[in-house]
Amino acid sequence: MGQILKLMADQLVYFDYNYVNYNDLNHNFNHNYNNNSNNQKMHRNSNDLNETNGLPDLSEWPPELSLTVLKNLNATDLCLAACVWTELATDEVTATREDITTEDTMGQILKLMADQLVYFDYNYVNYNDLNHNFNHNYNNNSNNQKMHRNANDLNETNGLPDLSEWPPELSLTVLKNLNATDLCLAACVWTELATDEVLWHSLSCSQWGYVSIYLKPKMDNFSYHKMYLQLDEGSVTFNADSQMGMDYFFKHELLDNRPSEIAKFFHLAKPLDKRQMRLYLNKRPEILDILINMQDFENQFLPQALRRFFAVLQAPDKRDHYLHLMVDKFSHRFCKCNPSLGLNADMIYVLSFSLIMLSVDLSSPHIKNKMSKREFIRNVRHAIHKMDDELYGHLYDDIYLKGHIAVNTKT
Amino acid sequence: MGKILSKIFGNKEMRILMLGLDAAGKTTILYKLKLGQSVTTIPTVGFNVETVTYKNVKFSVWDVGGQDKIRPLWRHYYTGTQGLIFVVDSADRDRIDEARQELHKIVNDREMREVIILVFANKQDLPDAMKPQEIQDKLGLTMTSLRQRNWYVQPACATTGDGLFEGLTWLMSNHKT
Repeated sequence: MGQILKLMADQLVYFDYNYVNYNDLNHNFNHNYNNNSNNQKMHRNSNDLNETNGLPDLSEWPPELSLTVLKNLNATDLCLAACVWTELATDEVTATREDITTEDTMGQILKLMADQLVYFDYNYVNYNDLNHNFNHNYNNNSNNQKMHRNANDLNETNGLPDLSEWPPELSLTVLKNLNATDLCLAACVWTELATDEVLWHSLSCSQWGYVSIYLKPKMDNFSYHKMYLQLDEGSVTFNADSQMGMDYFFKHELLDNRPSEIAKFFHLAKPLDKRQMRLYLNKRPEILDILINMQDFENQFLPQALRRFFAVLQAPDKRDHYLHLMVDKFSHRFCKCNPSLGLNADMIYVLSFSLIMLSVDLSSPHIKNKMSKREFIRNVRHAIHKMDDELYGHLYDDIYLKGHIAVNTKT
Repeated sequence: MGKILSKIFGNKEMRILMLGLDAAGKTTILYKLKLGQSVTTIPTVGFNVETVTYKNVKFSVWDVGGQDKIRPLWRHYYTGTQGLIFVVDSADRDRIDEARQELHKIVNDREMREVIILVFANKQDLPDAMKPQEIQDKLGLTMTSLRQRNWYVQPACATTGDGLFEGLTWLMSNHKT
């Protein structure tokens, strides 16, 4: 737990450094920071964390410098920072910020933060799942929420619910709605709940919908917490280099090296970088086939299906062979999902390309005379010997209103 | 200043379509021509369109796909095109006949009757590359149907940039205004 907190704090503090006015800080620190920022990727790797030692120690800096940094942190980051540099966080000087009064101890602030986060997430909890009693309790508290936020009132209201006093299934419903960051914060308050294995299991499932290891028989000393950390590290590695990431997954027996397993993993994993995924799929076309067959395009409008397709499988920047291959595979799949349309795969292929062309035509700054709806319809009618001007008109409208069919989001 | 000069000397614009079989070197040529010019390029999925300014003439070059199935879609862009750049891989003897068929299909299109034809005999640096004269024969440019058309074969090497601007100069001087 300590490691994760440290890791989290590390990330957040780096993020906020970007907003620190460098001119205010002395040159030494600047240098220090630049070195660290290069190591950022490594920092994220929790195993390496202890080895790199790149984390700047605020306590070693001159006090005025540390304070400048801390001043730029918001309350959440401050709490996280407090987990690492305890002596600084308990410093009464930090408490001079407007929103925190001098009487507050760090513990109270943490409690306050956890309180806010839990309340925030309550909004997403399905109330029907919770028992009526709790609902009643919650409603009362939510009216007081404003007051809760006021640190001065915190001691008077006593409104902080103690998860350990609730029935376990209720606590889990609440915790299920927290993401990893919030969970770490919650762990500061309710230690025994945060170490719960069910929690880490569901957290893993929410990020990586399918991994081979989920279905395998587990040893007695198996830890979901450890699995989560490994999956996280694997994903970070993957996003830097897909091959290395996959090797990591295989080596730690998280994932079987079989096309169907990898396809299922890719299909449901949220943290994986699409560009790296494309590079990997370029090398393993057999996985691409399975992955495409997992897409369901039934009863979808062609542009919408194509947009979804390109959202899962990133389109290449260049007009190359791979794009033709992808559109070809897409056409066959779309055709299979929608047999009632009366369009064959070749027609879908041409229509898909007409949409890609129209996307470029309408979005490229180098093209002055944009294709009109009438021209588009005439052109498509000419290319595909089927009269359906209404459909072609709808296709044009979709691109015109929603924009490029396959925007590459550079990450 | 640039504006005044262009008013005096006239700033022409020319719309060019660049075609050819895949791997002939179209994209390389396009980006070699662009090199050193300050116009921002936005990488897009689909096809490449670039504007290249050379000696006061603004070329808008369309690097379009050669796939059989979608060729009819390009017809929209034929209209208003003044010049065709057809790129040939001079070392690819196996597919020179395929290139010939492709070229004839394009230039015989109703919308392309008036265009002037520049053939880049690309990859001249390769040891077994066909010479311009051989390309000219193999592409059937001397055939009756094409004899009255204005065409020119320019040897080129896209990777070094050799011959590319000579080609543009030919397009400029043969472009009827």
